[in-house]
Amino acid sequence: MKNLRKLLTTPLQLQQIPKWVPVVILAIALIGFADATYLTIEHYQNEIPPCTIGGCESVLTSQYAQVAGIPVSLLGALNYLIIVTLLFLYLDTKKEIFLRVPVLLSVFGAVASIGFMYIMIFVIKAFCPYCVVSAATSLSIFAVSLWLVLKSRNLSQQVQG
Amino acid sequence: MKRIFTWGSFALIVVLIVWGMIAAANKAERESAGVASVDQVTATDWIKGATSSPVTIIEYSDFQCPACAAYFPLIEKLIAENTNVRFVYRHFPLQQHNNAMPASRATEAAGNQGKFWEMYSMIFETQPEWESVSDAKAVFSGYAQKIGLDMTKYATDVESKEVDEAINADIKSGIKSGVNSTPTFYVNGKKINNPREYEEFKKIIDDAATTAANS
Repeated sequence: MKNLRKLLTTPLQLQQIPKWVPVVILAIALIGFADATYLTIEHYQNEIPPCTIGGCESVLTSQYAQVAGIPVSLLGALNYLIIVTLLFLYLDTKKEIFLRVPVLLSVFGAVASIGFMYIMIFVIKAFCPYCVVSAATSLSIFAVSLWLVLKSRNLSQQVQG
Repeated sequence: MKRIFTWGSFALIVVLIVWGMIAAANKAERESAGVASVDQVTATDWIKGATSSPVTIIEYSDFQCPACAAYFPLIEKLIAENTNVRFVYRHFPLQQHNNAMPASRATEAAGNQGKFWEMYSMIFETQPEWESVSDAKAVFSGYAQKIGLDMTKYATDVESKEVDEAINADIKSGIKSGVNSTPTFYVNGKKINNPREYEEFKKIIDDAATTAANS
């Protein structure tokens, strides 16, 4: 746990980060943003998106689809929008903090996604492709972020050592 | 210059995505236009009572909900004692009721053999007996036998995709109309506050019949 905190609070070694990495995270976050936005719009139109496979109805109308009256998809969309905005700020200013915050946010995204996938598979026992897409984007962002942190940490150790 | 480009693309991408998703959602809505509404009875609806009556009650209901079972005798009485009303039952099984979906399936499967309402009555009348059992399917199979269904056909139908689709179509139409609890009643397309007793319900029906006659 302590290691994890250290891992996350250590500034990333910017000069070592391949230029394409933030762009890849950005691209994945945009997919997630599109997906979550779609579900949010459908929610407020009282619609259930067409699902050729699975049971979107069961998942999207379950008690787990809302947190305190706010649809989870809206929270997801905001999460992705924040990540996208910060990454644009990073691309604009090249300030390390604008890359580190999305990296931190990706941890919450990943934890939430795993939680919701668990509920979908084991509690609701239905399949909602839109939700799986969102979980996949969240977990991908987390994976890339983790790689970024680990790489950066190794490099900083090398530099210090 | 570069900043303008960066933030210009940011704005453009976000706007395009939101716009695209609204368009996609609207397209989905048009495609779901075939979903039954609360002011129209469809060919696939389960209808009880006079076919050409001025008043139509549509109920979105869950076989495992206690309030729904409480309304069951009331509805039966309404249909029996009033010739001006027809009743449509639409499935709205709630997530938290484990046995509601199997109950809906059982009625649909019985419906395939022309005995939807027999199964419907049986299931509502015996709600306390099966609401908390772990194998409600077996209980409903027993009912199927009791009402004299062809059990081979029932066994296939109850697990069939068609039955699933019929129930899901009802759920979809309920969600589209904003149903979020059961039972929810619509009288001639208008959602009503659940009446507390028979007389109150009868008055709503009679008022609706008068309105229909005057329009």
